[in-house]
Amino acid sequence: MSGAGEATKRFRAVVNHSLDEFRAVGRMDLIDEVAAETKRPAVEQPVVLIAGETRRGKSSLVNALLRHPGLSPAGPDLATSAYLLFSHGDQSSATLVIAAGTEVERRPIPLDDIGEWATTDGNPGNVRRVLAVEVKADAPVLANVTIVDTPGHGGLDSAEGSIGVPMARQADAVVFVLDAGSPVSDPELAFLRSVSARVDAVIVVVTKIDDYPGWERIAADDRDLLGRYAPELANVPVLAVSARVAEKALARQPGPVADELWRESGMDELQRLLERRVAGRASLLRASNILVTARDGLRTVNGLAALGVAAARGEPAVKTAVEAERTRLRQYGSRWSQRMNAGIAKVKLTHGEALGKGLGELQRKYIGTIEKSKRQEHEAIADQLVTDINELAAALSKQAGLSLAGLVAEITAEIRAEEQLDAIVDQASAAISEYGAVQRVNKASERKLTRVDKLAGFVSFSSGKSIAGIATALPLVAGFGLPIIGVGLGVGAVFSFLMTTGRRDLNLQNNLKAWVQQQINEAQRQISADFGRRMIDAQENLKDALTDYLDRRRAELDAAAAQYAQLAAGAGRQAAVRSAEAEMTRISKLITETDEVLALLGAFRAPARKMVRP
Amino acid sequence: MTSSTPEDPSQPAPVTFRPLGAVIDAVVALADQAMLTVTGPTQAELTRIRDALREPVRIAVAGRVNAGKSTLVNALVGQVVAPTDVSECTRLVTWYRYGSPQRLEIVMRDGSRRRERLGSGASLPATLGIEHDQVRCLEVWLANDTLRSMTLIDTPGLGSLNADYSTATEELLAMGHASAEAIATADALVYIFNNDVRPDEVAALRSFRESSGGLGGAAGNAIGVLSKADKIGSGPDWWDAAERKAKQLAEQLGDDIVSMLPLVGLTAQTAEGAQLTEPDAQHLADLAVMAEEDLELLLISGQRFIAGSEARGRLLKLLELQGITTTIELIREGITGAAPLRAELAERSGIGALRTVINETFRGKGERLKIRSALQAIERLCSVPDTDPDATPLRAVADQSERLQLSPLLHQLAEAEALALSVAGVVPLPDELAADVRRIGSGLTPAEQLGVPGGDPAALRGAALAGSARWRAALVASSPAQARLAQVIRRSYTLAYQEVQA
Repeated sequence: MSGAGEATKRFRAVVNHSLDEFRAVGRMDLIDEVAAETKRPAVEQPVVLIAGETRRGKSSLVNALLRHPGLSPAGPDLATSAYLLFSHGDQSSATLVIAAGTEVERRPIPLDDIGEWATTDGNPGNVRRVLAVEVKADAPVLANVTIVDTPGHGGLDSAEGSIGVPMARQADAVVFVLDAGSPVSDPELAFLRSVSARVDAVIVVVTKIDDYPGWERIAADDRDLLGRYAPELANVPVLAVSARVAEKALARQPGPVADELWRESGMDELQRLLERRVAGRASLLRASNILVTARDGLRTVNGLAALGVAAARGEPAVKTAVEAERTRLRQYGSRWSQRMNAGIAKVKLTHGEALGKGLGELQRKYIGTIEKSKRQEHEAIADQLVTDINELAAALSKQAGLSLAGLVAEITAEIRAEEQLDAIVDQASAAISEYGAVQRVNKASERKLTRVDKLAGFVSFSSGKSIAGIATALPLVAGFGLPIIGVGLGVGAVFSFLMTTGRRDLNLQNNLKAWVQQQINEAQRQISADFGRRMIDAQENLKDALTDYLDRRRAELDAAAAQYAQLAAGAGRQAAVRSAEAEMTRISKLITETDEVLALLGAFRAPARKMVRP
Repeated sequence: MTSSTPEDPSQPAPVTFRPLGAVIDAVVALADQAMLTVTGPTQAELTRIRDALREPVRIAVAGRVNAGKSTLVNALVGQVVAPTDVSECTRLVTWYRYGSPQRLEIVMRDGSRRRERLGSGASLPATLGIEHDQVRCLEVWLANDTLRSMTLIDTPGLGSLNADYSTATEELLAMGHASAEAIATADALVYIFNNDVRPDEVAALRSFRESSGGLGGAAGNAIGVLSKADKIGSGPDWWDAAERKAKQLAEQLGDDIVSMLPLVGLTAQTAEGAQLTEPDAQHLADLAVMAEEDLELLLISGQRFIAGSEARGRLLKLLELQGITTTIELIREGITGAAPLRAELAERSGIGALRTVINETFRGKGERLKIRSALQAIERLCSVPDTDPDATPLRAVADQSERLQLSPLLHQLAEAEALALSVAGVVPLPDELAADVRRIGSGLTPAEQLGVPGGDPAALRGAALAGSARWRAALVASSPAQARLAQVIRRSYTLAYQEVQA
């Protein structure tokens, strides 16, 4: 049998067996994960996603790779805000892909206009709803790959358009960009880990080495940290590059100096890696990613089985975990609501103060203007005042929205802290029900969904967006499935100031002054009332979401505790242990087999070492 | 760079606060006197209150790993004391205090202290030889002028993979839980950013703000520093790029910070810490006369620059590429010798502007906050049941405290607070009245407070009466906050009148 034929056969077998195992323990969600990988539409060329936090130098790196300085707009004053898809073409050209109502519109744009559509310069926060800008360029590296430049994640203003984990997990290969200024951070590592559970070909690039004399130590630290905190990433290549040196090389006349600079830039190595291991290997990368996904599921199931054994043997770990979670819940429940109330009160206070201050300034400004004004200008002054008041209201709303978002982010961060234990309890209750033959409490995937739902519900209330839209666009930062809601909590965004009194007789300066005073007073009243109403709604919604979540968790935990007791006292204990141990043996074998097939396929990451679940 | 920009006429002159030394002395005297009459535990509490008053404003320096926190501490102190690499000590909260003999004190979790000697050049040792989790913090005592007026707290990086770092800093900044102890820990915060603001950094700033209460709900005790200003843009207008970035980040952060300043931290450390020596200056002078083409090739990257030259390796460590480029420019402009170059580099690093902002923002406010909290602490201490053994002496202390608070001396504190509220825009006032508050809050003599140069008694009396009338009128048509402020200022005019009469 040919090598390729054998690989194909073993590939099918290992995937099917994995799916069988998932089915056997009722984890349809894991089956869905693998299925999603297999069902993805085929592409001729692998899609390489350039991911990383904001300001790491992704666009400069892309330009250096393409040997085309400035093609993806980059600079200290702007950031990429929409996806840029680079593929090969004999002539350079750009096509804008944009949402027009429910339709998708495509139209050519000049290369010089890319910044207008794809950066914070002309399109901050992707307010122009650009789906992508497709760029053709005559670059050797594009011969067999499509390169996607992305808005960075991890910044304050990058939440909405930034690349989330789910997006990166769909790429064929990911180039993750760090810079030589500081070692890989916690959020970056979380991102990498999550992506590498779905994508085999992950390359880490440390940029800006020309600018940081300590780059070698930082790069070494990065390798060390990846190996230590994410063993599955231990074999990921870490390349050190300088886009700036590459740019200097390209700016020179071809010759020995230019060649030397190009070598020094480290771009050669990256390009070679992409050409040899990624380019033209679309189906291979796909297959590898399916296996990586299956292996991730197998590890989850294995962890569950281990817990099942522990539970059946009456080991205290499971019980302790359940009890610890209950205690925590009790403590945190009241803390959350206190924090929330305090936070909301503060948002209100700040809004009130800022409103008073802002209107005071407007008043002073207008009284001053009126004193110097001519009669025929009065009408325009009155119009401008109304505009200014509305602008002030909108700006304050935005500020309040941001503060609220920060509050939600803080509280969700606490949910995350708890989620580590959550996972244990999830596994415990699942394990207990599997091996104790008791009705299962709740599937982990279901519960996650409801949690996101709740938060999504909150966002939708305040931003006016549909829940479904939000759920898919939820920017995921610093964790797995943890929504941190960014901008767009438009508390009061639709507020519009209404004049109370007509503006007859404004031609007299004193009349106009009195009118301004009246409008300012009325604006204060209206804006405060409007904002107050919205905040009451916001508070109610948040409180409901929180209470609901806590109630549900309590019920689940009670059920889990009951099941635990039942299992430990049950007669089928021995059988349960035997069955779980047999399953673990099977799964370990399957994981080994997966690793072997990955090696056989020539997968990007050499098979991970002995697998240990953290 | 901050190349001696002329004063911007659109910007108002910086506000100066009248020093409150006399007020502090009075409160310290009160505590001292009270101490004589009470028993052990109460005495200890009074000692703590008094000592906190005498301590300079405590400024925490925080930011992500490798953001340049220790570099900034070194630049401010003017000597390289804080280790800037990833050594053991950068994982511990370290206090830099004024004191002699110069020494290191290791504060253990159980409260005990170990005294160690500092290394050569008063630097921290690379290792301590003690288990980390037993150490609460380090205290470095230095006979250093800067530390006379501020205590600096260097913190481990936030957002780090090493849980040690982040937890120690979160504790210090009281993230999440505003415990009373943490409030007592830092009066002000300098937060270091590199080129962007991350959500975890906003959370850190917010929780600091929450824990420290702020003045009348306004922020004002945190400033941001864009500490690697040389890494933002490139080319000749790199400083402008840094300034624009600083402005943009400041806008994003809103009132979580007072201001955001660009700084080339490493250059500041090298210049202020006198690290640049004559031989270094000579090497730089040699570079300045190199052929343009050769120099340009050399300065393309750090690796190229140091290839085969130890001296250049040292220069790169001291200044990095942008600093070297700047120094070469300076030499070509005719500045030679290590000391003049250091002075000019310090100026261009942005450290001077940062010092000014720190002084303006924190020092006066530190005093105000400390006096208020000391008075409150004394008041709390005095409210004991009759059964308390110290009840009788404490009643006397309470009486004294009340008398002190009603005295003209303590009115200075109220004036300073009023000025702070007005300047921060918390209590908006018409321009004329705002100018009054400014004079009252910063003037050192009745003449300055009343804005009557020369000090003719009749003119002073007239000004005091007019001021009093003006503020009586202001009292009528105003918000409650304005009314409270108006009462304070009106009393100032009355007191000034009495002083002139006497």
